[in-house]
Amino acid sequence: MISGRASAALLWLVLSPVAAAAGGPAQEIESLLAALARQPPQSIAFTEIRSSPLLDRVLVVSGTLEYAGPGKLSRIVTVPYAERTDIDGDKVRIYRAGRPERRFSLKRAPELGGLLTGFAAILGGDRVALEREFELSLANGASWQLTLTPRSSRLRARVASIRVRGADDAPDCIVTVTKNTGAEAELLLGAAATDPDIARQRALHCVALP
Amino acid sequence: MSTGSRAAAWFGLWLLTLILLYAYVGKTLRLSSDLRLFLPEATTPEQRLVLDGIGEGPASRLLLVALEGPDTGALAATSQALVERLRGNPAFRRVHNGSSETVPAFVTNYRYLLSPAMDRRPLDATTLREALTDRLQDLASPAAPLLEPFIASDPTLELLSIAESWAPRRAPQSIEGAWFDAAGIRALLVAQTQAAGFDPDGQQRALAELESAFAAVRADAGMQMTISGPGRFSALMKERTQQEAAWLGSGATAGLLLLLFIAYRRPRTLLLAALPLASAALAGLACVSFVYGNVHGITLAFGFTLIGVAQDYPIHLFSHQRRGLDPLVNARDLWPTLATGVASTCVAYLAFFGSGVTGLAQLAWFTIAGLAVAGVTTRYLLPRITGEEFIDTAQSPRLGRAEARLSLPAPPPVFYAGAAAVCLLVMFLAPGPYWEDDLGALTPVPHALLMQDTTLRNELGAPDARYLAVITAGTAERALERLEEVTPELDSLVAENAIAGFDHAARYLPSVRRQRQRQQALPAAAELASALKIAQQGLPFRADAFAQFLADVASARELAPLEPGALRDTAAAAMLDGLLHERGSEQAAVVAFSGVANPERLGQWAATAGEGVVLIDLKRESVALVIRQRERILLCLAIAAVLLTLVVRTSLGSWQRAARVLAPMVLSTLAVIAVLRAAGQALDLFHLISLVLAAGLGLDYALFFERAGADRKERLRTLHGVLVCALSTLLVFVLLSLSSIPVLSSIGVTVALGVLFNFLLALSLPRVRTEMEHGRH
Repeated sequence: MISGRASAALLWLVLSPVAAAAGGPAQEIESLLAALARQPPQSIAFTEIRSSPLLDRVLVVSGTLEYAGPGKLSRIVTVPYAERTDIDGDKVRIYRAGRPERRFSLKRAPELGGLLTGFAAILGGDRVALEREFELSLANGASWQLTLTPRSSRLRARVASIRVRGADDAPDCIVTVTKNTGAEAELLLGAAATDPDIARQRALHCVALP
Repeated sequence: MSTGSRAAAWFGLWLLTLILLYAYVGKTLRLSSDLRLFLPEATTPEQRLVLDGIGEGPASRLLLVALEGPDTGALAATSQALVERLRGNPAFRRVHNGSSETVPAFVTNYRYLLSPAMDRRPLDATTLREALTDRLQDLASPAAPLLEPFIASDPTLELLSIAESWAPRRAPQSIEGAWFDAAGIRALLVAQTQAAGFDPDGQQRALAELESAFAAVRADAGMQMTISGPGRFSALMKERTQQEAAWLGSGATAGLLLLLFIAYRRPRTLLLAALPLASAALAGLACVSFVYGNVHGITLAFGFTLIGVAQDYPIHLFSHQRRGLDPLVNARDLWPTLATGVASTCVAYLAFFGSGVTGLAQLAWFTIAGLAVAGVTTRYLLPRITGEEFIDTAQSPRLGRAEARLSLPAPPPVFYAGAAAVCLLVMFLAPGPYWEDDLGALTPVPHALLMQDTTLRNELGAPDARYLAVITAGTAERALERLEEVTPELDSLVAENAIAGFDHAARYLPSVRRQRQRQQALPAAAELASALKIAQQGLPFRADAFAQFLADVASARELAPLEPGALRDTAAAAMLDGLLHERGSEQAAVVAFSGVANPERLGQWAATAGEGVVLIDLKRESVALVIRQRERILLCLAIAAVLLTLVVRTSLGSWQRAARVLAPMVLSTLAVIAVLRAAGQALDLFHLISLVLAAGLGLDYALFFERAGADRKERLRTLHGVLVCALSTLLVFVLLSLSSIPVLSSIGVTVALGVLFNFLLALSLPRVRTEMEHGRH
């Protein structure tokens, strides 16, 4: 799966231009992260493709992600229905027309706490802080792929890995693989998210690089 | 048998009696610390509830805990560690800090019987279709990781409905999963103790557990823990009372011994002087033990103070003893006066029998039995063992000089009338409340601690402690049904903003009737399966995704409904605790309100809510209770005053003499009240008891001076005795008045003032030759 919270955190990655890096793996990651550091506010189109063992086909929703500053993110779904999620610090609120507002604490989902910490570090271009939460590995080909593997057992119990793929200075897809249900979620971003041919975009941007 | 060996035999016999009494007391007596023994018996359901609320109620079991330290994260972690460490500790029923409390396991099985949402819609195709559509959106939302594990077995999210209906209406803010105050500085926890609030020993154990758990888990040594609440106060007050009683007691004992030695210069006298008091104490304890089987700590503390009068009896005997006078003759001569004093004091304490307060009745038994035994000891035992070798106090030149200086002229009756009028004027004109109506004043807690408690209570959003509704019914089931019947009306009160919220047992445990209704509304297996199939049409759920749901509904149809008894020892029992309890053969269900903005509207609701519903204003009821108790005690005291006057009149043989003896006591009592009122003190139960004690002491002084009349030698001996009595009493009560515990200090001040006034007025009694003098010469 990719939860809105994961995507929220990853947005920081996504919103930053990426420079192709040269040198050893550590330096490559270093320069990638340095290029990712960016100032809010930012917004970007997304299409999220989610699977679940309860479902026999994937769920697709799309809309806009808005990052308003540290700890503040909104995920606005417009298609196929309207839904808005606001994350503010510890509080998550989901609004859906005709339904009572759903609130919960970020703390109730441990993966998000770790992700936010991690991506706060990314936003600052801080590889050391990021590596406290995740093991990082970078693969380069026609496009680049940064894989984040959680270090804390608490987070690892929920999230197997997070894979970010992009080309040049733009990330195109983030894939989160959860541990317990084996559900997968893919988040297409920017231009890739606005193409109606979702299957083509997923094949192009979301498949893991060797 | 020689005089010496006969004395030894008497002494031995007495000692043996005391030892037997001691053994009896030690075997049968239980010390109680239930404050309600000192509260009046309730006559109305409202008052019973007020009394239940004190000591036994859930509010009295709450300890409010605040953690302070520089690092918020460390505070939250310590708070969590504390909750985990104390979980399952027998001293606590529940410790919580707002971290997501797991719904008790049984709730999962019973969700279709417990969920309030089941009343709103049936589990049919329409409901399921709507639920599945919502779940699909949930699965595509950020809430997915939270909800996904439940959806297969609980697609309508009944567990969520239950959790929402159980959540506190107003909770403190949560930082990193733990409750914090509004400023975000102090981490807050609530601990519900197993021991009742006014069980100081149980509370002390709980506090010790809390302290040691904190010491074990705190993140750094600089972190501080503050504990507040009734239990903390009762433990603290017990500790402090014991400490102060210990040093006051040793101070008073040392002073008393010194005083007695200076007065009689005979070490043996010190031992003999203690006999009547020791006998009185043991007799009093044995009596209470025989009648009640237990004795309240306050009875004990007060009782020992009150039988302190008995210390005066041997002093009068010794001060009149001299070489050449057979002690038995001396005792016989003094006996009418002494007996009048003992009898009139006992009559005064009779008033407490009529008070309707168990603790005061215990006090009366204790004091009356004690004083009677002390009187008998002084009359029959002491003369047989004292011996004659006393210096005649009438020969002391120093006492002679003192007598000359201290002998005040007898004031004319108009002085008494004028002084009494002034006192009455002061009593009624002094500003401030006349009586202390606050029940809380019975357990005085230092102001700073009370302020801290109020702050914590506000931060934790504890329910409004003032208004409650009680629904009484024959059975728990009926009480729950009544709660369910009034719930829609209460919901409309919330909608009208008359109240902010309410809480009652049926929120957590629906009636069996309601559970059965929900159960009967559950569709049969085949029906549900086909409804689910219709609901799933066109949705991307797997065909077999909800097999667990079908199985769970099928088994819910077969469950026996939950009853309060089945919840014992579960987390739910702690929630029901105090909201539903047995009262005699009936069950009382409490509706607690929060944020009462419109008490009148609430009153209207209660008036029309039907049978068995009573709205209680706890504050008004507790004030009414205190006023009723006081009025009853005052009435009893008035009756006792009449009886006492009759006793004195009968003993002295004329109204004139009786008036002469009673006038100083009456004026002193008025004067003490006037001084207290002028100092802005509101009078309470403890003042009344102290005034009775002071009056009893004063009456003895007057009786002895009146007995001495104009005979200079007898006056000197009486002065010696009364001086020793008054000084020793003053010593004890002035020390008591220095206590930091308000009750002790107010008793000290009251009695010390009373003794001083009584002594001065007794000195100025007119020296009239009495018939007794004629008899003696």
